[in-house]
Amino acid sequence: MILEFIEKVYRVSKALGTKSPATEDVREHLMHKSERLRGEHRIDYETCIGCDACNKICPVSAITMKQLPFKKQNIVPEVNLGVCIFCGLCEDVCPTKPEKSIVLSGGRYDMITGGWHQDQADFWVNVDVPQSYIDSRLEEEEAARVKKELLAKKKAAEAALKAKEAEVADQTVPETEEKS
Amino acid sequence: MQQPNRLRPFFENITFDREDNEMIVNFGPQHPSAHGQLRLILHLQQEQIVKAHPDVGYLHRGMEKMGENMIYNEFMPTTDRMDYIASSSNNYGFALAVEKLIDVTVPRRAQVIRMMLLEINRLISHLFWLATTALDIGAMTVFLYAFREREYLMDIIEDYCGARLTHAAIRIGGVPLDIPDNFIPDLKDFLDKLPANIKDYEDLLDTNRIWLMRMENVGIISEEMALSWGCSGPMLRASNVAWDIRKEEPYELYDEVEFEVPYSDKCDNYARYKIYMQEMRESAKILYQTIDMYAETVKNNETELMAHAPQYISAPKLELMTQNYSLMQHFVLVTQGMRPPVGEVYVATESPKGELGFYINSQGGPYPYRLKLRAPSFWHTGILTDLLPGHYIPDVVSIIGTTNIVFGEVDR
Repeated sequence: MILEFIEKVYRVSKALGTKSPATEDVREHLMHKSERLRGEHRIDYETCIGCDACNKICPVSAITMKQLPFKKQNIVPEVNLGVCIFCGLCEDVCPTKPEKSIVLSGGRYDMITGGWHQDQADFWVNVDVPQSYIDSRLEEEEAARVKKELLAKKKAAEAALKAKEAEVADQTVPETEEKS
Repeated sequence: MQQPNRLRPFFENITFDREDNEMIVNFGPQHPSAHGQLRLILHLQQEQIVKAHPDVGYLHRGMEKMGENMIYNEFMPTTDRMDYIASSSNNYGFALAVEKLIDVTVPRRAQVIRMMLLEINRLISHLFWLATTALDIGAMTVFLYAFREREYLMDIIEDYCGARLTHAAIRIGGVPLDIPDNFIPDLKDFLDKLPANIKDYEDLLDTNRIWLMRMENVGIISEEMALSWGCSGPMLRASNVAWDIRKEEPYELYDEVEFEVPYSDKCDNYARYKIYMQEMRESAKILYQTIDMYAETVKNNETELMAHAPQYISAPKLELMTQNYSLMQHFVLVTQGMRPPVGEVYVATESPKGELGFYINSQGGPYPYRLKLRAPSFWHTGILTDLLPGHYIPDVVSIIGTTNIVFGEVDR
């Protein structure tokens, strides 16, 4: 009798203490969250090699390539989420290593549940490349160009030297023959 | 007779009473009991139907033409939008057709995963059918129960491929992903509960007077009629023909699993309902066997998921990372598409609705020269012309329900 009473009191107090599931905001906490849920794209501009494969395979042409001011690997995908059908083909074909540079799996889903979009421009996955990265890439390219030029000069000089040596050798060879 | 294009209320129509009293009613295209965009033009004599004319095309997207302007891999997400209740079965039908065309064999592990997906899709589709048909006839409880079970299965599918309705879970030559760790325990949990759940539905419906009135001896399709109208799947099996493509022309690993083909000689709506319930049990049986088969592949260390055919299918990721030539081939396959040899192929698979066939005519180019989709629902809509006359208006809803037509598939 007393045990039953204590048990009831315990149960009620426990129920009062727990938070009701109905008060939870489903926009942040889904009932079922899969790790592979195909949501908003995440694009890594550092690993992207600008091969254009995701743009080519996209069945609804939701991807456009953004031009960057480099000479090589100078395009990065941008996705229009208003057009995208979240089929995951772009992730499938991305060849970069070790991680794919365009990933849907485990992405944000709150554009479906609403809240953050105010106008059409918010439905774009834009790639904001910081100026420091652009500068460093440009510097790298410049350095590579200078290095290449120096190397070419060096090579040319070496070739000239070799040619000269060969000439000298040509002239010297008959002499040695004469000596012997 | 009333003019179909100038409908007036019959009490204003003086000639109506004087002539043959035949009234025309438009059922749909947005009737809540019609499946999607079905417009039925019904000629009524009092409450009895004398003539029925299904008018389709309200959801037409020109999928066959779309397919002829896309590379083969690009078309895969479009097949999701055919029978959107069980989209993996459409993915699979198309993938199998292309695989026959380019003649590749899929690794065993991918085959097992594909069979799991197909049977889960069959369960989803049948549960959805039960829910909506029961709701059409007025059984709210069964609707909620069946949708609850369907939700579990959708979660399992979401764990696998990341989408709930339009899966795009199958690729030409295999599957893109291995199943996650919690997939098999979740599936086993569900399958253990399924027989009790099916029994719940049957307890609610089998002896229900309203259900029996709408189901028994309504919508009788004789064997000859079913065959001549091109019925397939459960519609044909309810008409005393034990025809199942999984048994007759086994594809995938269906010749290795044990299951029965339920059929009935009652030919009415009730027989079709019974067959759907029985098929769910058979699907569960197949799923149990595929779980064992998957464990076997893990034991034998067969980890390949995509077929090896460098001319048509991109190499796996590891090879792309290490070998330059594979990477080049991958880019060619992505940007230009695979070029299957010249030839034509028709492959039929047993989708939850019936025989789902893909006909591809290839001229050696990256796009199919002709792509024909044979969707079962289209033929099941056609039979309404012959089936509905003689029935009453309230039976129309239950008959459309048991034909299990999906308009993504009818209009394509």
